[in-house]
Parts: sequence; C-alpha cells; structure tokens
Amino acid sequence: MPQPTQQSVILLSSAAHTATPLVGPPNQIPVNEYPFLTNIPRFTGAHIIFDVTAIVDTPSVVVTMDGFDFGSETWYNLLTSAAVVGASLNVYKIHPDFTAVANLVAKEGIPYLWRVILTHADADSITYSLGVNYLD
Amino acid sequence: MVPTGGAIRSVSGDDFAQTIESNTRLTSGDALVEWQDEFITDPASGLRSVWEAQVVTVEAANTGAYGNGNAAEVTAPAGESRKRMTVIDSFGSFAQTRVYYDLAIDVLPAVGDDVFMVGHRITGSAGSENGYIVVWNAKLTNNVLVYRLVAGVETLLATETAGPQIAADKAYVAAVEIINLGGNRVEIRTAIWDAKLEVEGPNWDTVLVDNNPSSIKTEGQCGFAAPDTVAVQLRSAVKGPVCINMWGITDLDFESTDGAIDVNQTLRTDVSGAYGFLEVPTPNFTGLSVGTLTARATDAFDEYTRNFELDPNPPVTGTGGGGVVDGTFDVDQTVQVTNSQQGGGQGGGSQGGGVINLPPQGGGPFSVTMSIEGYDFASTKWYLILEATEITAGNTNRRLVVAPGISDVSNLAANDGLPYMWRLNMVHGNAAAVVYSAEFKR
Repeated sequence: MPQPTQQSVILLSSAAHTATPLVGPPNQIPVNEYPFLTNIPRFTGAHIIFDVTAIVDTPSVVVTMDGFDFGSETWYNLLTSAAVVGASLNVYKIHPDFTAVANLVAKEGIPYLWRVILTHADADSITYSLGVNYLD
Repeated sequence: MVPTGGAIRSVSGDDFAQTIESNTRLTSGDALVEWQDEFITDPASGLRSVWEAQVVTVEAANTGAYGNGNAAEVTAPAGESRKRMTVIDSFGSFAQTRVYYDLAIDVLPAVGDDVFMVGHRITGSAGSENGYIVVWNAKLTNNVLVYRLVAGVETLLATETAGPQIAADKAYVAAVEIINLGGNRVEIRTAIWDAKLEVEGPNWDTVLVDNNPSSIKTEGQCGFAAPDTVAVQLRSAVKGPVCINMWGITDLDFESTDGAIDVNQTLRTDVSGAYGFLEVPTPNFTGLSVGTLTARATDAFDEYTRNFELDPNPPVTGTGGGGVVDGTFDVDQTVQVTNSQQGGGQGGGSQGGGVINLPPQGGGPFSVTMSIEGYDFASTKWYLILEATEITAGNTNRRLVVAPGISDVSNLAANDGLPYMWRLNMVHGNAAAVVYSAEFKR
C-alpha cells in the first residue's frame, strides 16, 4: 500500500478520544493554540475524512474547518459539520468549484493555513481517525 | 373541429397509415381538416388547404392507381378558422410517381392551440427525397419550435420559448418523417414517431466527454420507431444525417459546452449504416477533457436523437498502481490509481474517470457495478465518490467522470475531486463469470 504523502495527510490515526484533540503540530505560526495545517504546495480543495468506528455512551463531535487570515490574525469558518454521534465514515469536501451542501460541502478554497477542530460535546469516549486528501 | 387529442390517422395507403396513425381512428362523420391534391407540379404554388372538413369516406386501404384512398376533397366552410389543420394523405404505389403532398398553414397557431398537422412532400420519380418535419399532436405552448421544410428551405411556423407547458401525455412533438422514393415505390420511414418528451418543458440532457474522444456516436432511432418512443431532447442542434435515411437534414453543430471541450468547430457526420458519428474536436491541453456537451435544441430535429455515446477511447496510462483489468472475472476487481502529478499547481490531478466495457455475454445472470472510490490513509478505508448504474447485460459500457466544476449527473458525473489515491471498483453481485475490461482515465 502506498504511503501517505503531502497530498494525503493522516491528521489522527484511529484512537479513542474523550475531548477535543489538537490536530497538527504547532510551529512558528502564532496561532498554535489551535490545531492547524499548512497547505503546501497550495492545493485548491480537500476531502476531510472523519471515520468514527466505536462509541461509548453518547458522544457527539462537530467537525469544524477554518481558514486563517494573517491580516487580522483570526480564523474564519470554511465548513462546519453536523454533530456526529455514531459510528460512520464522514467525508467533508471543500473546493471552490464544488456545489455547496450544508454541513457537507463548502464552495471554498483551502488557504495556506487552515485547521480542523473536533469539538466534543461531552466526555464520552469516541474512537475515530481524521484524514485529509488534498485536491487540485 | 378536430377534438383535442383526438383522432388522426391516415385513411389510405398501408405505408402511410402505418406511420401517421395516432391515438384513435376517425370514423365517418368526424370532424377533421383535410388537404389533398394528387397532381401538383409546382408545390410552391399548387398547395391547397382545406380545413374544418368532415370525413366523407374512410377507406381501409389504398386501391387506386394513384393512391387516392381518401380522395374526397372538401372545402373549408366560410369563415372558419384555419388554426387547426390535419392533413390526411393518401397514396400507394405508382408507375409514374408524381405526387406532392404538402402542408399549408395560413394562420399560425397561437399559444395554447392544439395543432394537428402533418407536413411532407415527395418529388421526383426515382431516388431519395427529403421528408418534412412533422409536428404531430403538439400543443403549442412553450419550447416548441415548429418548422416547415419545403424544398430544403425551413420556414419557422411557430416559436415558443418560455416555461414548461407541454402535457406529458400529449407531447407528440416534432417528429421527422423520412421519405424514400425508390423506383416506383413510395416508402415512408419515420425516425421517431409520436416522440414523447421525457419531461415537460425544457428537456435537457447532457453528454459527458472525457479523455480525448475522437468521436461520439449517435444512437438515434433510425426508422420504424414505435409509438411512444421516448425521445430525449438533447441540448444539441442535430442537423446532420445521423442515420442513413435522414437525407433531408444537413449541417450539424454543437452550440456550447459547459466543460473543457472546445466546440467552436463544426461537428461532422459520417453516414454509415444505422449510425452517424459526430467528430469532436481535440479537447483541452491538459490531455484530460471533462465536460458536458450542451448544444442547445433549436428545432424539431432534436427529437431524432435519443442519446449520445462516446466511442471507446484508447486507455490512458497512469502512474502508481493504475492500470487496466481485462478478462473474465467472477469476483470484485479494482483498478487503482495514484495521482502523483497532483498538487502544487501542476493541475489535472483531481479529475479523471473510468470506463468498463462488456462485450456480448453468455452464461447465467450476472451483475457488475463500477464505482470510483478515494482512499483515506488515516482510516485505511475507501470512500465512495461516484457509482455507476448496475450492469446486468452484455454489450454494455459504463463511464464515470469526476472533476471539480462539472455538472453532477446521477451515476455518470460528479462535481468532486480525485484524491492522491483512488480506484475503480467493480463489484460483482454474484459469482457468475463476466467478461469485461475496465480502465481509468485521468
């Protein structure tokens, strides 16, 4: 099996979580209090795959994808998922040529700096992985 | 008056009766509009029209030497409107064929009028001649362009452009009648008769073109189409001899495209057998041409062609694990592709597609469904991007196209992107052996 490259990124291998994880290593970008990715070499869009394989009790996770504005040093929202509450393979899509679908597809471009936040609604355990496939 | 949706049929001539019969038959005493003339040497000046007549006699078949099965010529009642017209013709076999039939309309139908008319003409004593566009039982409301074709000259009779109005069960619109005059025999061949619009109003269809197609093949209904044949009105101005017996139609072009295809060239036709081939210009520079041919229907000719289909294209060599499967299979097969050229402004990496071709098959029932899936390294799972419809018969192919920005077409095209690793997945529904080849294109 080919290994992932900069075109396909493993943000989180499958593991159980009870709280919002940081995704991606912090670096010189002064926004390291949040998980983020750097879009090199400048892909246009992405598939974000959030695969939930097991739950305990009633967890709920919302996937939020944001871009970063260096001028204002603020994050702006690209796409926010519906709450994921059970085992499922969820693919969110971002691309300027796509047709927007609420909570699933954003007609947006991937900026240089962006992030994925997995916001847990409670402390119930949920096992998931998070991957990104960049698109031209 | 001719009743709405009512009876129109040929009252003479076996061939003709076969082609224009519609709905229910007239009986003596029914109101109709009739025009007939047997020996008109100059159709331009010799047209006669009679309307608001009544059937005097209905003959079961033509028995006259000149095909005058229903020769009763009637005149129009004074002051009657000419908006409704039915042409009832009669003819048969002729030793010296010199018969003209034509359609005369003195008052154009108005929006909302039911129009019953048949227009056609035969000239000469040998060889092939043009047929006329036939507008049959059409309700002139919207998006119907009605033409009359006389001596190769089209005359627009009515144009409606806005909104869906054609009743789904009465949209017998704009069939084209092909007349072949061979020797002393008159034949009438109808490409699509009683064509029924698939949906009301603007009825667009698309053609997906991928990967440098050298040609697209029309699969029109070339002659002897059965009543109620569903005519898919393509966004194409099909004016070429798309089948061997469509002599009267010339020129062919596509008007526009949504995709990468440059269609600023005239598409050509090649009359061959029962098919015509429309040449498509070389696609864009990326070597990948994903687009939607969207030539717009401009007149009744469109009813001729039910669909377009790409000719098989040569396989395209990919990178990584890409390739082709070709053989006899009874278990799932995959064609895996790695987009190593993706990203960094190199372009083209996220668009592509696949095709599966099945030759005629023997053996028992089988089922194969092809899909395009992307791979997620984090979960080590494949996720669905696009799936074709199931194949259960041989001599079939399915094509899938994925590209950002194209129009979604169910089971055919997805406005989506292909990730770094993706595959064609051929899922077998049972253990029956199936012969096919499948390949990806990007």
